[in-house]
Amino acid sequence: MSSLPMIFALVKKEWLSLFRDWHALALMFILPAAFIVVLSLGLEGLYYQQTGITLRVGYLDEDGSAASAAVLEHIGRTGIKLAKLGSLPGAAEPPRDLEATIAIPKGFGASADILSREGKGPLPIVMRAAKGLDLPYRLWLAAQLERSVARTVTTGMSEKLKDDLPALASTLDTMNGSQGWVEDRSAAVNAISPLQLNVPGWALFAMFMISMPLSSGLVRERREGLLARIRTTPVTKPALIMGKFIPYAIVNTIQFAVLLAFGLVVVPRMTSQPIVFSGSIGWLAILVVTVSLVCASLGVAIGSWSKSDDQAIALTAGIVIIAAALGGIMIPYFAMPAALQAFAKISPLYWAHSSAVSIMMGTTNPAEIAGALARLLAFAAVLLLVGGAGIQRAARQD
Amino acid sequence: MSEPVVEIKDLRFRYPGANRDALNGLSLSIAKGTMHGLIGPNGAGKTTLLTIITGARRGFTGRSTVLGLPSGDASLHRRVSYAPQTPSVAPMLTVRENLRLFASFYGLRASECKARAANWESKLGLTKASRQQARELSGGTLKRLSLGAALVAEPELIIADEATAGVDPQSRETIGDILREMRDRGCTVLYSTHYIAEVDKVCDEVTMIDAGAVVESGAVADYRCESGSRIEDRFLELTGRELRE
Repeated sequence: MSSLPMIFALVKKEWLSLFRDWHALALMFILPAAFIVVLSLGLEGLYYQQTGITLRVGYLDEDGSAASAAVLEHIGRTGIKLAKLGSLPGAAEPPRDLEATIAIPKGFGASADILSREGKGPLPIVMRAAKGLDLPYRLWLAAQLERSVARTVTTGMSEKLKDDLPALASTLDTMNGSQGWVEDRSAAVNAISPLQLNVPGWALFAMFMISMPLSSGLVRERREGLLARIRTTPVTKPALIMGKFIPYAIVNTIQFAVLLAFGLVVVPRMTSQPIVFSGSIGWLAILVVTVSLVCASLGVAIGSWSKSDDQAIALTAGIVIIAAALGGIMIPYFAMPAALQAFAKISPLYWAHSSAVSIMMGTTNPAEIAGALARLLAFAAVLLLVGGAGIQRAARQD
Repeated sequence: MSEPVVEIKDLRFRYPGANRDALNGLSLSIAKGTMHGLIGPNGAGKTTLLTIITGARRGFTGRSTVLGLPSGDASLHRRVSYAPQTPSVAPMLTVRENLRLFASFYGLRASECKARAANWESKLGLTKASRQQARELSGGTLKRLSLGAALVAEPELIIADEATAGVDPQSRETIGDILREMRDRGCTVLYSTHYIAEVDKVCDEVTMIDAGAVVESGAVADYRCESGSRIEDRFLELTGRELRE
């Protein structure tokens, strides 16, 4: 006998139950939307102060040439706060008061004269970002360094070519002038707006809210004997599990899509804050499905161990709020003290959020995203094991 | 006696942490096509026995076979249906949606699910309430819906645990009539209740259990006398008249 009709029936049951519970719907859609607007406005000052504009970077100029000074000057113009270092710290990690260090190697100035170094580029500047520095900031810093080196090199080329090839030298000067190499019309390039973090953050938080109706519903089904009764029918265990997971995964996807659309289209008009989505929909879809698995597993784990639906709701709310606070949803990760940043990584929301921000900004590093997805799957597996043990225990005691 | 549908031999079961057995060497045989009443004081082990027969409870010793197979065998889930003591249906679904949901568990086509749900909805007097959510129903209507959720399977054995407890006389009458109709169609009915008069009225056989064991079992007709039925007197004689904690 095919399990599909019974899975479809179970999915329909969950779906109808969920959509007839107006309180749960408000919790899953309206509350996170309100959070996006209120917190984006409320944290605006904090973000602009803490993002790229005031990134603190220590530098060691081993070359001491005009070219290295020019690079540092360009970097300084981006708003990065530079601090001279006497030497580089022995550890790979920058000192605690800095987000990154850069070292300009000896010989950089000579190597920047690329016209006299056929086939060779300038010596690379070595950057070391703090482990806690989010990927988007790290990539932004690297991009600023690349840009500064490129400007320094082309300025040098222009100097050399102005007698023999004045037209080319003039073009290079124009490109290095106010126009720059890239016509940057996106206001979010130099600073990540609160909206850029809040939209994926609260959309992910909303996904976790689904664990509440799932866990309390599971407790009710256990207490009222519906689960045990269904197990006396031909419904198989996999069908029962799929019947729980599929509808919540669909609702999670709808939640994320609705809140993302709200955040991309509506909220920027209300807050005048920029938000970009230039990433891969495919990566985002994979992330949403993976997060959905974690949310459903959390609901099952709590629902299988709780003694009442009140207990399940309180426990789920507590866990989700703590995970959101630790994960950088409520308090931006960069604004956390170092001690709290260390705990952030025990929250699935940290991995989900940092990946979602990277994907949205188009700075996706496949290896890092794959690592985050693997961690999220591990969270789901552990929660499922806890849930399975809880259901077995309940079955023995009932 | 026709072939047994349920055969229980020396069944023992103890809940984790309990200091006594809930079932203490219970043996019982239920013939095919009969309506079998199960009576016993509170805590006698009736629900424990019924859940073992349905396969919902494991961890017992002794033998429990249903339709020739060990209870809990997956193939029995299509042939045996259970209406638990607590009306266990989906609270947010309407009466009609619940009946269709349970019908869909038995591999029926959508049209067949609809037809069965409509049939039992009408027979159980649920048509007026068909669009009401289960959580909004009165106790009697909810009990009828819970029984309906078991009947849509149209099983060979139906196990009804206190299907008439706490319902109005009209609902009790309807439930009794429906179970008798099932018996007349060849279905075996195992029916636990506290209403002894009901056993006398609708059942063919009766088993009295106490402290996890059978104290007496026999044909309902054998308890009849000129003044009516002796089942209640016999039950109190065997299980005692004093109140229990």
